[in-house]
Amino acid sequence: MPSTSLLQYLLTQPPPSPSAPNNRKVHFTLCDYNLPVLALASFPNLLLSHTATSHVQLSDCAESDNDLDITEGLLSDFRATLSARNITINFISGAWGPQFVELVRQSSAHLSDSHECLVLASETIYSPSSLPAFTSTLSALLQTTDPDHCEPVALIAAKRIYFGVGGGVADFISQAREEGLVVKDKWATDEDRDNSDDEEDAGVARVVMEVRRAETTVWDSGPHCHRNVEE
Amino acid sequence: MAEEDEDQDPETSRTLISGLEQGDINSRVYEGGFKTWECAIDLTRILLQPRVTNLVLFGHSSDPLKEGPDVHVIEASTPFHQSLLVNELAADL
Repeated sequence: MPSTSLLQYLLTQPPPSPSAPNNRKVHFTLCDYNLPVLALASFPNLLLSHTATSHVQLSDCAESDNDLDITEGLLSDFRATLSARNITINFISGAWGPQFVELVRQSSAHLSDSHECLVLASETIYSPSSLPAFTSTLSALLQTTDPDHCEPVALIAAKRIYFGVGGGVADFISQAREEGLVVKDKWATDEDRDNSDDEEDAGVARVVMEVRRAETTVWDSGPHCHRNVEE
Repeated sequence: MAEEDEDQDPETSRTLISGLEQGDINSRVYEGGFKTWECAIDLTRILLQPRVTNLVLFGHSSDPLKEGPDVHVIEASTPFHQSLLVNELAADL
């Protein structure tokens, strides 16, 4: 999970000084259609990034056979670490849509009005039937009340085509345009020949796209609408 | 896991599976949908590029010593991949 790596990176930075004014806050919202995924996969992964970076005494957690007991001590240590760094986390389960967007907005109420927003998603565009809901949700999440100072951005990782399922990058881009979004490739396997020595890359091409709302796009030479996809 | 059987003779696959055309099955090339974590790894790799992490740590300020704005990171998981992971985890419960 990308958020796990990001949290781990943040936890390796020196903690902010308690006396420093206006320490910035970082809030993570992790989402999945299924609640058990969040409870059984997402949360444990976040906890593991804490144990990997902290000096907590793992002997207290009765670690054996690569198992880690989640003790009250470990949890309170995790909470203390997050609190000291002004990092908060919440989880939202359920489908894309206006209710989901509202829950996300409520979860960030403690952040300043001009907070930055980074949306991370991978493999979420494979289903043609859920694509309109996902794209309109994405568009709503990328709105900001301070467009002069904020540049909300989404990084969407996907396969160009999902064989047997029907969805893919071309459909996503056309749907995104209808929602007032601009899309550009940030990375793609079929354009990164120097790093395509991996035999796996001989398969389906993968991309990471950068997506913003058109009105907040301030790229150097103007908005780069995605090139016409005629694949 | 639906992995390609590398020992399967291409000729055999063509005769065993009807309705497919030449080129639908390429030996030694996996094109299935189960290895979905590739995209999550791609995303993580991009995220850890200095320019991107600086965005998260410092916002758009060019001064690395200046405290950046608050940041909200929203992550949407991969439904079917994560479901696969949950099944593996549930088996241990």
